[in-house]
Amino acid sequence: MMKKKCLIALLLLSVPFLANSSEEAKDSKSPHETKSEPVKADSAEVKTENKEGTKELLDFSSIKDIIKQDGLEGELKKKQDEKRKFLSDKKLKDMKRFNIPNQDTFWSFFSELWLVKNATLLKWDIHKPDFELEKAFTSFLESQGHYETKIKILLLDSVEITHASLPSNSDEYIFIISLPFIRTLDLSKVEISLILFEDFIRAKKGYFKNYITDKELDSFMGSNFNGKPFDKKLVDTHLKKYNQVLFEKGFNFQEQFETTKEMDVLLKNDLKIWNTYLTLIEKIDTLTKNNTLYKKYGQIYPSPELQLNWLRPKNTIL
Amino acid sequence: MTKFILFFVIFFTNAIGAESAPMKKSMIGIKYFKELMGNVHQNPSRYSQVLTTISCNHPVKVMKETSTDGKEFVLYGEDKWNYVTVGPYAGYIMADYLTEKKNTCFEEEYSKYFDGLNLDINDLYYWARLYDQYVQGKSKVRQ
Repeated sequence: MMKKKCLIALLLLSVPFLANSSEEAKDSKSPHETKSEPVKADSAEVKTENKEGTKELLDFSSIKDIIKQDGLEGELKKKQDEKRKFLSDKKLKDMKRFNIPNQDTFWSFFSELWLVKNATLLKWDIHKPDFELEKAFTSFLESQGHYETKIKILLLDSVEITHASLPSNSDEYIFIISLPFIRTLDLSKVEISLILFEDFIRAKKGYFKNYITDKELDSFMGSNFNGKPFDKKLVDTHLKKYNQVLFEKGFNFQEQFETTKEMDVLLKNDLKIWNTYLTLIEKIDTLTKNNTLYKKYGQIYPSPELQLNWLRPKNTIL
Repeated sequence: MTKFILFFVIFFTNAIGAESAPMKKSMIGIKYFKELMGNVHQNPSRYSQVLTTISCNHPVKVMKETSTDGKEFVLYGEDKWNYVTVGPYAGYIMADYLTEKKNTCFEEEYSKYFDGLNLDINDLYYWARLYDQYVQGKSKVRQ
């Protein structure tokens, strides 16, 4: 009984104490919670202050040396130089597109342009027999000591032009020769090679090129027309000059004399070939005198008769 | 007599069969056309029908044909022509006009000059024909 009373008394005494302790516990929490906000606000202010502080510290001049050490300035300069070079290269490349071919690359293209523009007149787009002229002529050139010479031969089904060597780049020669002319004279491969060789000498001496070239064309070749209109008229005018040489004017006596004399000197080493050349000129002379289709021949290559006089040995009376 | 006829029939059938056996075609490499304009022909002849026209630096697949007995054919018609495929066309092109590497082409190097000439389709056709019609050669030092 006594024990029970003692326990009840203890419980009664502990109730107010427990109540206080729970209040105290509540109180102990709340001051912390209420205080925590102002503490946070206080810390933020510190940070901004710190940030502002660092902003002031981030002065370019103060890190300039570091940047220099990093090589960033050098990198920037390199990039700028690269860009400048790229732009100037692009500009140069764009400008180069307006280049006119120079002396070395102008002629073959120009002669082919003339052939293309006069295809219907010259009638070279025909089915023709394979004479293997390229083999015959290259071996002839080799026998005359002309090596590494590139040749292009085009057969024409026209009597308007009998034969010619067109102006070409220094590394090649373009020949045109009439198929009816070959057939009428019944020319052999050696005779055709001799005609082509005569044209080869004319081309080497540059007679045809000299007729076509004038001051205008000379300054046109190798120039650049960037920012200027293309001078198509000049091209057309000089293409017409081809026609003048090949259809009307031809070569002069002096040029013909020089060519014949050179042929004479070069071929005399082989008398068989020299005689073939003489016979060939005789055949051409007879043809031009008797066949009206080839009357113009003497006008272009003056003249077979004179050539014979230049070639034949003079009868000297001792 | 019947045996004799039978023998001939079998022999000729085999012979015709062997001839008509299709050649095995395989690519041997890519080459580039080096002239200004050129034609791909149906047969290895400059007068053969033109299948298509190509310009400088146009890539072509060069083919070889292998017969049933293992013989390989790369050049045709006096060793002047290559069998090539260009896009949907398969035909012949002059071997001399093809190079292993890309070329410096006139119309690319002097593009504005080339454009300025105002070449029409007819001119370009004739330019391609010009390279069909040329007979070309080069003198050499022979030992």
